[in-house]
Amino acid sequence: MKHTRRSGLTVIALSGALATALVACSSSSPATGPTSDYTPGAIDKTYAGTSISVLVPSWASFKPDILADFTDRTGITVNVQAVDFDAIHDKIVTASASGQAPADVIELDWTWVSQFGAAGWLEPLDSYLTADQIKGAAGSDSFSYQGQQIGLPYSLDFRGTAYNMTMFKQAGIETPPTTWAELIKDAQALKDAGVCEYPIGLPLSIQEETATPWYMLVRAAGGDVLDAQGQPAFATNGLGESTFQFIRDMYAAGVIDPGAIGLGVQQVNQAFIGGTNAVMLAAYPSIVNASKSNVADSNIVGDEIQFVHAPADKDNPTGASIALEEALAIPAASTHKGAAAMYLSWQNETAQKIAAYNDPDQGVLPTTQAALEELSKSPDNAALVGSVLTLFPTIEPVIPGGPPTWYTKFSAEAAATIQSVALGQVTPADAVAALAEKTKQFADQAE
Amino acid sequence: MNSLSAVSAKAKTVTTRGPGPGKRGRGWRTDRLGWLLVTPAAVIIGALVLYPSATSLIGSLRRYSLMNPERPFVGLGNYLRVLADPTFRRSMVTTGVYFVVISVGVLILGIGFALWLQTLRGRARALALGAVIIPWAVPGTVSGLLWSFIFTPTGAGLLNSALSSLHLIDASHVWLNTPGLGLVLIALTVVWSGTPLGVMIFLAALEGIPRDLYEQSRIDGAGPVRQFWSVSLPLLRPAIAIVLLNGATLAIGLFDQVYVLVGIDPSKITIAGSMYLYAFRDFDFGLGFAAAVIAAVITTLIAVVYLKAVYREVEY
Repeated sequence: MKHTRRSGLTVIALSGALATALVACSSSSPATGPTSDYTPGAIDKTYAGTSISVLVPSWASFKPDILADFTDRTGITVNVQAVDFDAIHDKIVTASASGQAPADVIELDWTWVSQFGAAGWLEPLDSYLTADQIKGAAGSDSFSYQGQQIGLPYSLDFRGTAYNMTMFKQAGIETPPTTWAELIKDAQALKDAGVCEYPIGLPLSIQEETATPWYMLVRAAGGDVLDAQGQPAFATNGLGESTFQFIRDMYAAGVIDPGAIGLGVQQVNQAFIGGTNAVMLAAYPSIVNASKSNVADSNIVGDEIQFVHAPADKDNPTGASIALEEALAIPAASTHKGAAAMYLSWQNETAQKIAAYNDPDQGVLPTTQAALEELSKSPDNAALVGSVLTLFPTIEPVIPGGPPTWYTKFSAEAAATIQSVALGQVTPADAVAALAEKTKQFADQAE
Repeated sequence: MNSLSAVSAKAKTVTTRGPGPGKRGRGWRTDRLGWLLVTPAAVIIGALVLYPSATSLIGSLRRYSLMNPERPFVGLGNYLRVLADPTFRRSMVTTGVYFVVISVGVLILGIGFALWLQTLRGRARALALGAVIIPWAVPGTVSGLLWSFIFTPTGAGLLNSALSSLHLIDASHVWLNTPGLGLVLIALTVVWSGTPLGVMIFLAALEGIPRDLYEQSRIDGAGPVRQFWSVSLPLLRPAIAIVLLNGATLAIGLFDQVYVLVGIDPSKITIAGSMYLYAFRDFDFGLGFAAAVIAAVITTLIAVVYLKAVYREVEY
């Protein structure tokens, strides 16, 4: 018995020691800065023989033949992990929280900037990239945290409204609406003409992303959702209530599918591409390409798609078109920061930007003026680039000064509120008051 | 004592746990070998269960935000904040609903399928068992996606489409947003995934019941229904306890299917969903740890209740 007890204690002690050792071994290597001979923005053989990992969604994942150019020029091998966008965030958090680098180059969504920045997980890029590279990428301000650039935008993404004018013309409407009232009236006309049962596509399920159309409406009408201090501007500028009322009016008028309260952004996109909806209220610019023959599952090939400024409460809206950009970043725990920075510089070149746009699996709009101008030379891209360039001056961050650290909580609360408003469970005025109160609580808890 | 009671008594429940005193007097070498064999499992459990559990417990007593390197001791502060959070309290109620539906569903379907499979023989049984097990092999996320096609709230949804073509509904229903029904439907998708394990546990338990008990009860005049209630069911108690406990852990740990089906809808998420939001959305691991500890305590309490009230070892 004595031996047994002692052995038992030994095993337990050994287990504990090994467990601790296992966990300790998983700690990260210390972060390193750029080497002394590193030239910001350089693409050369300084890091030849290095292998870097890149953790990005499929639309940021270059094909091997394109990546071969990078390897030829730098001698750096790239291992791409193309992961579902929703899973990337959790992968980054899990690895970073334990001091590990999730990869040498990672995806950075604009909504993660303040949290990742506050956690100190990302390497400032100012000493790795040139000022021209940073400032030349549209939307780079959204990836600045406390004065340091922590991400380089690779995808020009913002929100406007897409109209299938072929369907509109079937109902005798020749121009897209510019006000909320006109939109509801036109949608009713489309419905009455039997062109489509539910003309307007709007996701209303309770997910963070479904708050985006509401942000777009507030900003397009000239207001702010949150001010630079994170205070609920929507409660004081009157636009919170009027936009909520507009959403309720659309739902009550039956121009939005009642099932929209269970739909996410992807499903609404698909409904527009499938020809079920004639309007995608909060659309991304590339939706214009859905009328091209090479888009899978498109039922609107050959249709005339217009991507324009979102409608507002008044005619000729001049408010902001919200930027929802994505960037590439380098984790502070990466041990290949120089090589990773070269990858960032390389993918920012016009040739790679054009390749990324032309690859149907990527299709991301370039963030640089040079690449946009290059794209515009092709008649095939005239419609898209034309729309983008028209709205370009109106593109602004969703929240001036960047999202607060509690932004994700706020957006989830906003999504739940929007659904309640649409269903008529709460009046727009009460919804604004309740959401404003919650917003203040989030801000107070964060202090 | 009537005959059926005698049959039941023949398969008596035993209260002795583990080997008897006579079996303990083994030599040092045997003990050493035993401990050596146990060591790998102990190391793995230490690394993957004990260490994280201890870390969670310690973390739950500290302010632990990923955005702040300071980790001051806050005592039970995180627990108080979690328990005061209306979203967490709601997730506890929601978990309770899932728990009831999943437990009852897996229990009834598990026993039903097991009894049916027991009547089959040869290839038919192998095929049927294979078909019953398939849902268990489907990952939660994939299962959620499959069910989302069924419950899609527009006319394109399989359920809406089927019911509409049968003229049973006039307009598409938003199934998962219907108060009450939404929770039950989500729970049923978990029942679909969880039933196969229940079937296998019950089938193994049924196969372990000696045939002569049924023969004897048949001679005493018991029909199939009486045999089930008087012979099978009492002897299935250990299996029932295990299946119910599995149902509880399924409900409390439920996350992926709910996330795929309804996102982060606060009226549908479970305790596990709340844990995820605290830790991964809000970066507040202190609250996440506290929620995890609360979930562990609830699971343990349920396990104790099941083991005390339902579980009985049987010996034939």
